Amino acid sequence: MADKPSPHRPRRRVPTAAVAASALIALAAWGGPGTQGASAGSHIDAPSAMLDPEINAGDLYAFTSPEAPDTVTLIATYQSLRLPVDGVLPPATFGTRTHYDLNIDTRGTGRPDLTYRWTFRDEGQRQFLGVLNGQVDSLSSPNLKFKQRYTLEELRPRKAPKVLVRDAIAAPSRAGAVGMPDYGALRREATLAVPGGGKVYTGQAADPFFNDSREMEILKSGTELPLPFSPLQGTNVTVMALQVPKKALALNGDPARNPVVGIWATAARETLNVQPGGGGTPRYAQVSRVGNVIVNEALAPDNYLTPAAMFRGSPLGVIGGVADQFNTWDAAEDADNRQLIDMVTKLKGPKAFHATHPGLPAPQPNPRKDMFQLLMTGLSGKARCPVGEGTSCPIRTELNSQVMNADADADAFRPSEQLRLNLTTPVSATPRKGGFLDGDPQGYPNGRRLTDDPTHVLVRVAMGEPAVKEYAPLFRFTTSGPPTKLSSDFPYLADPHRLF
Amino acid sequence: MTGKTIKTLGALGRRPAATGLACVVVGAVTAGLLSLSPDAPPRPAHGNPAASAAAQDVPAQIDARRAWLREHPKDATVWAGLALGYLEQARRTADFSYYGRAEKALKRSLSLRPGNVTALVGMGTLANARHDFAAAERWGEQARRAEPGNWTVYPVLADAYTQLGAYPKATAAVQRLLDLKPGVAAFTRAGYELEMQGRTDAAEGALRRALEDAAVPAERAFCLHRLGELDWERGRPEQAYARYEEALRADPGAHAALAARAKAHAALGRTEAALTDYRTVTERVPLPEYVLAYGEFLDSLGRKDEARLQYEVLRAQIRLLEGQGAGDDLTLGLFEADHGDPAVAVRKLTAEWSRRKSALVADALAWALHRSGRSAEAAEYAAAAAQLGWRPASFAYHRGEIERALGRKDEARRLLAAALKTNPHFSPLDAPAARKALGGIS
Repeated sequence: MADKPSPHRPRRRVPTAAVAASALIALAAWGGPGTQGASAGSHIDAPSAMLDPEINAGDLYAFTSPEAPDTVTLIATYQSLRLPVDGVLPPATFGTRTHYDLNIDTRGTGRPDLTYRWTFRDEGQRQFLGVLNGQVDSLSSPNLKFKQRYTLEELRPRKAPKVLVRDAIAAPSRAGAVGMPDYGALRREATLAVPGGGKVYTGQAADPFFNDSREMEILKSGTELPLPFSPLQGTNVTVMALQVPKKALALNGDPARNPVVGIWATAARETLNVQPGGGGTPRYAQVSRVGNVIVNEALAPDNYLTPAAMFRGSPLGVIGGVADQFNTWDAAEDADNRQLIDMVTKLKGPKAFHATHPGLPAPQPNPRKDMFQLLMTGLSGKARCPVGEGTSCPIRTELNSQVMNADADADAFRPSEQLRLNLTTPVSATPRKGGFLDGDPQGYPNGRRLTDDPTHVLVRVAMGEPAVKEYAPLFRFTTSGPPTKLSSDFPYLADPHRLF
Repeated sequence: MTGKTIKTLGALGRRPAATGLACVVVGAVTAGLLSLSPDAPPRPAHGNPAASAAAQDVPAQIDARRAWLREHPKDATVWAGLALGYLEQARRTADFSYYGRAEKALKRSLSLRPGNVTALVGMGTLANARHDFAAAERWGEQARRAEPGNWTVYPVLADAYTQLGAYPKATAAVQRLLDLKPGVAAFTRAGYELEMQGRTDAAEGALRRALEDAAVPAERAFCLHRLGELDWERGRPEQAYARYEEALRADPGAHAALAARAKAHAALGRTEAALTDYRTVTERVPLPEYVLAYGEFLDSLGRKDEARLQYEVLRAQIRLLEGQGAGDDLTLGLFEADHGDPAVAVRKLTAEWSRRKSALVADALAWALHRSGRSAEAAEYAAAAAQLGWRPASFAYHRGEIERALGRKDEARRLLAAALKTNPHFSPLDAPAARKALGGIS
């Protein structure tokens, strides 16, 4: 076709080639929604977030620091399922123009009274291959071609932001033994003191997450899978870990009077303001949220990302569906969020599981006040569970609801989905997976230790505990974790896995 | 048909000032509104391009969904997902045949689970693709009522309201999308939105954000092409050319970028290269707007017979589209105004205006009225087209000619000069005509 068209050739073509081809021609492309893209899944979050690993929240942990019991350790993980990069694949990064927030609610309003905010900037070019020029012995090594710096701020309503750490270097993604022979040294260098007492580590670690997919699937659908399966062994996560004095968290700085704090992590991406007169100050949109990690993963009705779905070969989630929407929800509006309340209280799994175990007692009918209490108010006899009939809550244990805080206004309490931690619960000498169900009040749902398994607790509550104990033996022989040996001091996580 | 076409065109050939069509269709329409399309998938990652790219393999997704449906024919969600895959594929390949398949899958999905949002969004997307914007609005609003926090609803609404000329509603839909899902789908639409508001620098910023998030070649190419269009519309053909080149390097199948590169070649005086690109793109993807641009470029070179042939192809295609239930009276109207029967153009565009009050339709109707000798009426519509902050050179040219016909010389001079200042190359036929008209105003 490089020759000039003669008047005759195209004329001949008009009714044949070109017009025939035009039978296949659409109108000038008029876009639809960009909704295509759901892909493989596993323990993680919503389908859209999976495609944006930087803000794909993995897990949230909160516990009394075992060797420094006047402090609390908070850990948020992102970028689950990262294979060890070994300096070959692109490093696991934190998002720039992104707020990573740890939100603390001491009054039970769903609004943070305190937020720890990480923001990152890049130094050097992000590149697909070849992260290192040579061996890296320190964070400032010129052999590290790409690094990220972060600033950590403490935000309190009506107070000026307080910078805790400015422009510090985050520990890089681990490269192999040749590139980073001593990752522990890098991690020590990246573990910084925080003014007012405390420490922060920002970087990479082995993913401590574990669960038993059989329990997960029973919770979701009531189906029993043939084999235990924990998908995350050998993978790394990006981590923001913070150890702070309990006094810094508690309402009025008094953990004795006000022992309970609620915690959830959010990530917000910078977006744009196109409204007339908009622009100017940056606008942020919340794109990720995690409190009780399992809520979105196991209870969102259209989240296909389950082990069973993987076994069936279905890689599909619903882009834009409830699991995606969860990530954008404001905790302060949870109490009025019908979609969320339905998610948490209308379970499919227990009824189906009972059907295969007809000899055991039937679980409570929906809506499930006990699940509402566990996830939305915290456990206390004083909590109110306004779902179904009446407003009283079924679990009477005084454990971890902000209604227990003496200085909190009980009338201002608003149910919202948070990870709730009682700062005064002593460190348990013998941690148990079942937490309060097994006589270990320090375990999940009272915060979450690295050795806790929320799925295990939730499935047992879903099947009727603590009132109905007949199902408990079925959940006794599950996998336990974490898959890697923890370290004895902050940030407790294992060094990232490496391949070489 | 051939005889009639050629006769009409023969009549037209006597008018030297022919046609604002190339500029409107290729310049303004493609860049501004009509091809609002980046199907902008969920935000891919900076750090994980490989995984994201795999996730964007639409044919593979279609296959996976079809395989799943063979085993699970009652899965309403996956039927809808299959349809969305078809629609994305239609968008990328301009293959009309996907529409029918998409519609079938969507109906199946809705019959299995009435009112499911994924299928409602699919129906809205399909209606937008067929330029039935009122239907798209209905589907989109139904979806919004069901799940107001579902971000996939808002591209449908933003596109429909933009095309219906309901600009404040379009702005609100784009903002909601930006607040729910800052990513390629949102940033590219923000680009259009800001451009229409006349905030061109901010529009460029939005497209750069989109480009940063675009990990898939087709998306990158889309963003680069759009950035090129912003340069083009501001009279920077070299920069525009570089962007189109970059887009084609990212995705050699990016037909919009290829058509755009043709016009940039032409503006830069590289006639043979322009002809080659036009020939390639019209043979590969003979979208009416590409064929028209090719025809008008041939026309501007004095190759009238070859131009006429392209116009014939265009007519045949538009008829074919109409046969498929996908009307495009805007394009047809503009074409008739410049190369056919302006009275037909007025009829078509008046009908279109009764359906949607978009600035594009206002501009086209104004031009058709003017071409029919009804310049006084035309002036009102031209003023309506200028209500937005958006000032494409072609609009200014049309308005300038209308003012000139009405004897308002100062206004005509100002507008014609503005058109040429905005983009001296805005159309191979109209830019010279504007220059001539400007020189002729005493």
